[in-house]
Amino acid sequence: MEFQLTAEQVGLQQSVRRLLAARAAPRSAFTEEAPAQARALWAALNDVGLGALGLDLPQYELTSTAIEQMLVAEELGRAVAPVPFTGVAAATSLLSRGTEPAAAHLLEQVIEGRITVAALPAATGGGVDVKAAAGDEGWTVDGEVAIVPGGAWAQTLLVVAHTTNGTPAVLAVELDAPGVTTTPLPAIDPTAGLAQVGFSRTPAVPVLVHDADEAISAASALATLLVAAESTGVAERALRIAAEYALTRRQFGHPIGAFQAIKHKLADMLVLVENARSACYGAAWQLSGGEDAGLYVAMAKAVASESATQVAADALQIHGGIGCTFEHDIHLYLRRAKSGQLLYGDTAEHLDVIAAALLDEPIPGGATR
Amino acid sequence: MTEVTSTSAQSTGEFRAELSAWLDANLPEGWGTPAFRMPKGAEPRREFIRDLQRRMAEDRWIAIHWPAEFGGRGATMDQQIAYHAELARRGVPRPLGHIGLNLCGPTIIRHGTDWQRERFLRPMLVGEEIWCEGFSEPGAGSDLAGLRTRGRIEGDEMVIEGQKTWNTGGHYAQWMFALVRTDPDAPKHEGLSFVLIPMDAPGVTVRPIERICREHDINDVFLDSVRIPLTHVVGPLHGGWGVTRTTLNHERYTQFLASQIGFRRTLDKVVDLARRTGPLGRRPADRPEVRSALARKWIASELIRLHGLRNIASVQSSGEPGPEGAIMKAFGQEQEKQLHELAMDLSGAAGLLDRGSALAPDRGKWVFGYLRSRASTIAGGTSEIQHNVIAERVLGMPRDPWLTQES
Repeated sequence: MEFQLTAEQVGLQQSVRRLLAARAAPRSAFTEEAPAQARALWAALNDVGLGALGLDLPQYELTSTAIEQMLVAEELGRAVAPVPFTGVAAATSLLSRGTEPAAAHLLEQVIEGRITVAALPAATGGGVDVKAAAGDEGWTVDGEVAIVPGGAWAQTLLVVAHTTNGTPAVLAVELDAPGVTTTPLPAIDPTAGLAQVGFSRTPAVPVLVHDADEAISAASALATLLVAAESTGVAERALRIAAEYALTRRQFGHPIGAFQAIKHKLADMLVLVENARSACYGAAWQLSGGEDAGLYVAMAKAVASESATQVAADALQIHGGIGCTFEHDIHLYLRRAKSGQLLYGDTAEHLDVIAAALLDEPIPGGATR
Repeated sequence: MTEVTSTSAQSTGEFRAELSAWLDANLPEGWGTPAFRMPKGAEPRREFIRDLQRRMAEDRWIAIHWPAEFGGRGATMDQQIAYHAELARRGVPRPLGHIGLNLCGPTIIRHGTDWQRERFLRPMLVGEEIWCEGFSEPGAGSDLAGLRTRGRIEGDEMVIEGQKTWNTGGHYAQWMFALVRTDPDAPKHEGLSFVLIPMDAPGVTVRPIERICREHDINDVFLDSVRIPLTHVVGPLHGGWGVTRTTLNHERYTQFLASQIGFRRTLDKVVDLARRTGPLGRRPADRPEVRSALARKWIASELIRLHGLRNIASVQSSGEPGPEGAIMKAFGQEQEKQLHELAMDLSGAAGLLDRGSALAPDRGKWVFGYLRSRASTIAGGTSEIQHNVIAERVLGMPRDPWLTQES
């Protein structure tokens, strides 16, 4: 693995960073305007091609991989941007593997800016509570998805549902279709746009009906990595804010960053940030190389989201009293970090995946003793 | 030495194939099979390694990071990674005097005179002359530049007086590279010189230090009117601090290769231990807290590797390794300590049993490791110092208020 970023990758990182500095307004997520603001920000990001990232589409002259997606996710985390990037990336991943005729058209719509979000069971670690059935007038879905990240802003949803023969399928549902109930969910991190979505005889368009498992797990792995990468960005920015504060805030005649109690905490935070980034790089390079990345994605998620929560909490602590006020921004990072830690599998779940590979696989070459 | 061309133009694949073919042809008969045994005892073992090292050095397979004209290969970082991985995979022991090969050799190559290169590099390469380090002193640990061993100039000689400590291998080394204070009136960092001292010189006394794990590998070295010619000064007289920075940077730069391989090997043994039913009838891998603790250590091993690769990428784009090395070090040394503690804890009360007890898991290896690894957050810069370095040099925090007087 060669962890050198290309000039194009650095350019992408910088242009997204600039755009977000000018446009991202995390506090808008706490207001009535949240959905309109989120959609407007996504439109601006989509204009620079973020909706099509990760796709290999000759007809659009687009080729990018999980590495570019990871870099962008890190920027979104850094800006605490209220956009459904992860859900859209998971949706494009599913659509690009779609076997049904509608997939290509739906993908074009995403690239044109229609907010299409995948409602993956992996987001909540739960099962599938939606049923799909084919009738004379096409497919319908029934049931409920309890938590859909980005669901509060989405226009189209890709739902994982059980078909009548019990196998999973992926279907597209327009959220303004009859029989859809979208309930935005008040939560610790309004920038995640969580919603509960219910279906009652809702018309749906099939995307993947047979052998959907592999596509669903690929989309889940990608989404999990991207949440981890967002956490890395959150952690990095929270650390920088805390370091800046430690240099300017003076007590006992010195900047508080001169005291070892503070500087050692900052050093620990930097180690956590770098751990998060290394873990995400490892997983992104593995994914982009088409290799089995399961363990590396589990590592990235376990490390980055836990690190981000710790770093954001420590950043708040370094701010003292002011860190506990709504007026100061540091709580935005703590909220986003905690949200990222509990979505797409918590730390314990991902550690379980690694432990199983380490401890339950047969020992290569047979028992050693 | 047959050729003097660098292998840096070779692809890593070609390099690996050449190395692999060499090892196939030259490792002793039966190597890698369970029947193969290294000789027992420190001296016979060293003799065995020296013989292998001599043959490896003939074909330039020892200090591959050295330039080709000095017997290395000018190997790229990728080639060095491939080299260390392949040697570790085959269980080839570290060469004798690796401290010299990794630290002193590059320093002599970079700052030494032609005579010094001619005289010292070759015996270092083949393991005929083993080098030890004389940096730390009883009063100069974390604050290395505060060292007080004096080097007084008398004509074309230097007379050295003082004490070095935490010296690895001084009881069998032939040479020591050391920092001594040659100008006591200059500011702390400006009056030091980098010198080469023969261990058999009159006035050199080596006194063993026994570790808490009962191992002896480190020493005090007393220097009592030890005379060396001024031709044994590397780099400018009084310019030793600058010379030493090359040495220390190199230490950090190459360290992760060895430390990741070592960590991974220990982890594999701990995983193996966890999967067995212990002498008291329990199988650690069945306990949830053990499972997540081991998963975290697998992650640590991967992170050490990934940090190293990222560090190399940044070295390759910026030229020199930066203080980011301290981040890897702070993380790696803490993890090593934790891994050994986990290994001991896995076996519960049986984990307490040491060498000599029939019930001791892995013949008492983990009690030894637990005690020995206490040093990992101390040796080569304590974790507290690493934290200061990270906060000050990477994050730009001010120095401690107490330290602003002195520098």
